[in-house]
Amino acid sequence: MSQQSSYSTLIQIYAQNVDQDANIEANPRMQILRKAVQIAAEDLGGEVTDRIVDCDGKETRCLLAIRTKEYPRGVGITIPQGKVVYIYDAYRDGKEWGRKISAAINQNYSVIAVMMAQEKLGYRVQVKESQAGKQKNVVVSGGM
Amino acid sequence: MKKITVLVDDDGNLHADFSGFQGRTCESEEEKFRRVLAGLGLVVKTEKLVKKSDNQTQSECNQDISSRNERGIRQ
Repeated sequence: MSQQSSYSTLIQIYAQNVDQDANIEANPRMQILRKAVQIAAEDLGGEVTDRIVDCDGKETRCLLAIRTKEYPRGVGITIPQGKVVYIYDAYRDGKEWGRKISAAINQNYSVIAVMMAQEKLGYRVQVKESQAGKQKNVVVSGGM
Repeated sequence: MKKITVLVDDDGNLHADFSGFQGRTCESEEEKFRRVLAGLGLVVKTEKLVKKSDNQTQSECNQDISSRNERGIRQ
């Protein structure tokens, strides 16, 4: 019997704390995360870096970060307890760029993971983007 | 044809449609799918699950058979 289901998601890179200076290329999940960040930076016309600043100009180092023209303070990624956490200074971020950039990274990570999972299970995968108002959805279809 | 169609919304949450699965094969495929996702670092929590009726599932399978037959005729 077929079904329809909805899932909330959480990105878990490691089971335990990780040193920010650890070799991030070694973990395949980190490679997905790096790719998700790179795609988000390209889509938003930003750059990938490793630090953000707050409204006072105080710098914070992170594992990965994105800075864009619209949000030059940047959104950083840390992974306390192995879970991806976004850090940014939301002060006077009226257009919610911090949230939007974080959401774009989440969406990219989910799309990559779903594509890889379907391929691993033997499905032929197709990807399509769709715009619903201001919302950008991505449909990943796998057939067998 | 078995299909998994996943809509990834702009927050990264998933809305999946499993079609063409008969009997309990859908449950085990869905479980495998979630396990593979977790292995890739995407931990998913089921928020909503709606099982399709036998009729719906049968109609999906019939549609698939007729579209395959059509393709066969065209070839």
